[in-house]
Amino acid sequence: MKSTFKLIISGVFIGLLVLNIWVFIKGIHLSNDISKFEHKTNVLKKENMELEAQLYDINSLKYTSSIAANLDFSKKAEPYFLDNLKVALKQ
Amino acid sequence: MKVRLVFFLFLFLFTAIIVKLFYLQVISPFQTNNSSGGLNIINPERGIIYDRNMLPLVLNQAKYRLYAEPKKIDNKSELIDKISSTLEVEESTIEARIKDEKDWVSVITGLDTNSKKKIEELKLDGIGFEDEYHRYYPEASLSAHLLGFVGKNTDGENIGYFGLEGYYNKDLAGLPGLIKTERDLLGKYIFIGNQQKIEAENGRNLVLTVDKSVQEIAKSKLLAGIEKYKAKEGCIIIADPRNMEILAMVCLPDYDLEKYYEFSEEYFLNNSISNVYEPGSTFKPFIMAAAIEEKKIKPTDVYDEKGPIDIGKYTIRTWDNKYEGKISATRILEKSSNVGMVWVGSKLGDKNIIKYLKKFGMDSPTGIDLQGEAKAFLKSNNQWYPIDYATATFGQGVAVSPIQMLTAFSSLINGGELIQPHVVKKIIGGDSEKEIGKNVIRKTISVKTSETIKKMLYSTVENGEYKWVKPEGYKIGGKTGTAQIPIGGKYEASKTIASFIGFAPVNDPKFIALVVLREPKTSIYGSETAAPIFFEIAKDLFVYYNIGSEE
Repeated sequence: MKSTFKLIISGVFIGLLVLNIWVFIKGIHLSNDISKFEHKTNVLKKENMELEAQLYDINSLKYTSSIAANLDFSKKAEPYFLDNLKVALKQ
Repeated sequence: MKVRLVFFLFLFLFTAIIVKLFYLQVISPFQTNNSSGGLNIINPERGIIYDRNMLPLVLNQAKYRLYAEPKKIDNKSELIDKISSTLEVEESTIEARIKDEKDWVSVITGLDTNSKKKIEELKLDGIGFEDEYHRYYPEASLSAHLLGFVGKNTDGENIGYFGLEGYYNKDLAGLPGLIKTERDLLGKYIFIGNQQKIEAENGRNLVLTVDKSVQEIAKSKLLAGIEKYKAKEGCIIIADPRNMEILAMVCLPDYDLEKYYEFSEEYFLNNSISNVYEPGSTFKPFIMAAAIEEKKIKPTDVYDEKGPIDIGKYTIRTWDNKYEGKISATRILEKSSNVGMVWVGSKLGDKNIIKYLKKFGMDSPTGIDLQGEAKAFLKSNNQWYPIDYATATFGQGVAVSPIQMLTAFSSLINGGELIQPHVVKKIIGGDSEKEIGKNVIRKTISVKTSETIKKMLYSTVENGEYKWVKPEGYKIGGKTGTAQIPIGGKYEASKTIASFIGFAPVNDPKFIALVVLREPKTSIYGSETAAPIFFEIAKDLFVYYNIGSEE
């Protein structure tokens, strides 16, 4: 009876030891994964910010005016504004 | 024997742990990872500023700080040489920053990803990178004064200065978060330890009432106007008079937002709100409206403009020293008669002049949501002399800021509501949104008087002394102003502040704009400098807002 009890206790202790080692190794892997994803999220966030800045840069009036200047769209090609749409109003 | 062996084994292990702890905590504390077992601050992202069409005027951009740990550097001169040639920075600058006795020094801030990669490829010992966020302006300095900038305070923390960055600093900055996590020396989580995380609350985003296209129109016209009329400086404010949403606000000269540190403080002041000036004739409609409201005069009442008038030892003349004889109250505004306005002022009465100046908000700042608004400069009641009442009727001897002027003038044409001007339309934080709407401060005049003064101001533009090139078919109201600048207690005839305040369409004003030029050289008059700029702007705004011709 005593020896059976000792055997069970020893088995439980060995089981707990194995479980502990497994949890420890799993923890290390999980920790590595978290660090890796943390880093990836950070990189993605920065890339996203850079893309956002580029996008709005291209969408800006500053960029439009620089393109206009390159295309020689200046006073020579000033659009004609219809000050008084008399014909349209008569219709 | 076995017990002794176990004892010595434990003794050895404990000694090893104690020695390691002593090394980590006393001998080389800096080399441990700062985050292990301690608190980590999570920096919040500063809020984005959008224009009214949700197009950003300010964004955040990820940048890097290059730092060095001088004690870990093997060959300092080689390191300096390589960094200097890669980043094109003077060797002496880098050398001055890397001080051997320090554990950690910041070398260069604001590096972009490409520069960071180039440095990383060099595989240098003793250097590293830290993340940092910088403000980025897709429209460059289109709205420099309006936005303000983010600098450092004495503790090295980011803080907004001037404009919106200053006024809404708390909203934009957000709240830092905290991570209390146990990590190992490599910075990895220790799962058996305690972990606590309070998320950072990012700064709130601001949606402005400003339209960047209108801002661009205003800035380009002002720039061209300052060059054409050789003015020292100038400002333009455009607003919707129905709710006092600011559509554009620009002053020149301004500064480069990206390199604000290269400019002196005088460039940071937004003269639209931070400086006061004598408005001159643009002030006349206030006195006229007050007199009509008090039923002291009617637009058709006749004044006999015989010649200059004397008040005490002072003589008041018309701007061109020409006198037309019998003229109506409307004509007084049309020809901008100073003597005529003194007559209107005398009809209104001294007490009423002060009462209405206060009603129009000349004794208090407007409360616009921008940092740096000037205090109001209305004299107290016992400091008013007869000449002060007389000159106030034509806008001399009183000082207002351009935003005060625009706010008060809007009340003349919007049915008599003095509305607090505002630049921010909406504050967005997470899932919540806060709308900032119209805030009526008080009623200044009745709707009837407002309609009357609008007609008089339309007549002023149509029948004024100067014939402008106006957009045809549109009804525009407005008033010119030319105020001499007091220098050393005397007015300098050749130095003036030329201005024009106008609105359109007269029947239902969609916009009001104030143009102010300081010391124009080609002509000293507002009618020949500020007014043409206004009409150029109006022409573009009619097209932009698709406002049809009224005739």
